[in-house]
Amino acid sequence: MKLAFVSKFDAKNVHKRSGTPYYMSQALLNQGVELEYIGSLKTKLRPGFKIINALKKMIHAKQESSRNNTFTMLNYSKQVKEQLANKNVNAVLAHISTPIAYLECKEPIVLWTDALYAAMLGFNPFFANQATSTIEEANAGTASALSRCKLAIFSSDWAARSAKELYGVEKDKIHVVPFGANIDTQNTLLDVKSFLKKRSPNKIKLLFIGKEWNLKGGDIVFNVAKALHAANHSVELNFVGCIPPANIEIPHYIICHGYISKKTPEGMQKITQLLSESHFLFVPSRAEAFGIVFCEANAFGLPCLTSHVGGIPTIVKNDINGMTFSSFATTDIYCDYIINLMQNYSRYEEMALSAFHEFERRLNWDVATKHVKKLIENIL
Amino acid sequence: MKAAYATTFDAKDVNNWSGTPFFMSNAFRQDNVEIDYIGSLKRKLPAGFKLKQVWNKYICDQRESPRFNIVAAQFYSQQVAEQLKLLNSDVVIAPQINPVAYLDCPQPIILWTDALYSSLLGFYPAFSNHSASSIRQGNQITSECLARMKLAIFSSEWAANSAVELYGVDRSKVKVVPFGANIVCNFNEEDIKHILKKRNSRVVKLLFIGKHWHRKGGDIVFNVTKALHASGQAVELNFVGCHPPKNVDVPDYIKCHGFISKRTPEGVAKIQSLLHESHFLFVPSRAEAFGIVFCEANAYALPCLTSYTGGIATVVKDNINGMTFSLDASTEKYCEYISNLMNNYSQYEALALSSFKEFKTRLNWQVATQSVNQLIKEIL
Repeated sequence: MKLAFVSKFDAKNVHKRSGTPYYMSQALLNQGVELEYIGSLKTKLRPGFKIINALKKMIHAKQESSRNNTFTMLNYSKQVKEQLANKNVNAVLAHISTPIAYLECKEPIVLWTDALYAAMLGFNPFFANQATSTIEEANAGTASALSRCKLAIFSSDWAARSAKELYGVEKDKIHVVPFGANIDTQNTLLDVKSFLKKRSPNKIKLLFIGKEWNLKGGDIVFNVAKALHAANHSVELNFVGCIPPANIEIPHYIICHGYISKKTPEGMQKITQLLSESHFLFVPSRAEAFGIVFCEANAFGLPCLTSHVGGIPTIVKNDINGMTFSSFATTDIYCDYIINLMQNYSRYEEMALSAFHEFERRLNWDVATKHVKKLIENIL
Repeated sequence: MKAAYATTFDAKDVNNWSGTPFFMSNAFRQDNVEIDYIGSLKRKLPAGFKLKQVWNKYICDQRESPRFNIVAAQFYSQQVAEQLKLLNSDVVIAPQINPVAYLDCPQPIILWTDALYSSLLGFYPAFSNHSASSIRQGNQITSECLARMKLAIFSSEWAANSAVELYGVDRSKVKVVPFGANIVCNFNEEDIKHILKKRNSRVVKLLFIGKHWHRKGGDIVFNVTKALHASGQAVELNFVGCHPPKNVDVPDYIKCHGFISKRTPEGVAKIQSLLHESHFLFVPSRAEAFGIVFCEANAYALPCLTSYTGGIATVVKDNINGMTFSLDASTEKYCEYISNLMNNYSQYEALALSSFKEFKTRLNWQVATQSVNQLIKEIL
């Protein structure tokens, strides 16, 4: 099978989009799928777009999206069509909807993505400042992409339902296939068992990885770590990805690493080390489309403590590879859950092993692409 | 049980919010709940709101919503708290978030509504021009409200999921209880069989009821009707609630009634006779939080042809009380479904009868308030 792999970005670059297009396409290659990469699309804007948008930002506190507008999406699709010429592929696979929104081609189009526009608006606070025209055009583009698709595959139940409920997409073409961990790991069960041996039941080690303090629930993580310490538990929190706001007190048992780049070998090594040494990945997101970081944690036998918003419940199953909490959960509820597992350490170890099992069974790109390959074969 | 029923408007007026609070509160009373009405409430907006609203409207082409304003919501809750002190209620029930979002009171508060802010944004076209500050406040008010609720009851699975997935509400306090039909209707099965006999199997009679041409899929209904006629099928469409745009051709078998008011006896009689005579209620909404009109149709043994967007799928079950279609379903698909039932008229009659059964067992206010009453008793 030969597929055109469509991205707005350069899918061969592991640093784009947290590595998702890279790992997705690499895994497809590993499944014996031939790929024609179509990407690095140029974002062509309407004449005067930038000036008008700057003005809008000043007076409206709202602005147009440079990608989610009809003019740009039409142009993306044109670029894809041109690159597609003479490629002789069986199908077109895109991991985001904008490049295929208005794509005219004879090959069947497949979308495999993590979220749809209307579901993100109002959910992710970063969308609140989008202009009315962007909302209308983005929805029109999304609806157009979905109706062009022969298959609409989503990484979570939440996203799949949004296709049905918000865009009225034909149910038969909707499927759920979770994304995998964006990490080159060859961890075996033996490796995970050796990580477990090195984790000490006497000191709770929490790991936070996230770029936005509030959105990823950094405040909750801080409060829980402090409450555990106040209750005389030996605790360490490694805080990675962002720096807490200036007014937040940082006690000695909270180590703020700031952003650690996976691009450098040292950075990668540091993250790998934290993943193997910690007891829990603790990222109680207030909004999350999917959360690949949870897959990555599971790859190291690290259970996840998180919230049940957006696509997270598709990844994290309660008491199997972590626990999902309400966004209104008190500090006590988190502390009780953590302490309970640490005091029944064999239960913790069981959960760590089953977290790794979930990674092997469901949350890696090989399993994911095998499934998607089969779905595509069925429509050819 | 004594309940305070809080609304920003007068719930005793059947004309507010399609009569939903009127019928809901009356059904509680019939179920031996003593109701004290709180509302209508005074609206207080922050200083300079009007100016901001005018500026936003004329300069920025966006809406500053008075409904989703924190100051207004706080003032509503304050009024409810004051009135509540004079009552000895066991519980507070609200069909909308505004009167209870900031209500701190000793009684448990129960929300029973059809949609939450974030899921309407990007879904309902009327919300797409909300200002950035309205979006932030809408989400904040909703979140404050949900934090205070002892039970958050929703009329659909879609709305209930949005509470869990978009606002992170604990699943244990989220329940689904569909709303009922906002009509007084005491048909028994004999009456229904009589109504069915009077429907003419040779002429397909379709009924559309909706105020918004595009959102309610008026264009789809027109296209399907014309296609049925073109294929030689005798067909009649009664189009109620809005007028088609000027450029749409209206053939003689489509009768446009415009808005029919339920306030006048003639209006009520007209709508009733249409519900009696028609074969299908046909409202393929592009966005719908619930769709009480489908419950009302079922009360007359009228199966519903619609889409499965938003909360509709909770009301209309395929081949039980109608059929739900994708938004890009072709005209042929609809025609085929309709013709097939008309050609196998006993199948149509079975569907009509089971539609009535759905009304009797699920989609009426008596059954609905009994379920909610039971849920409340469990938490008191």
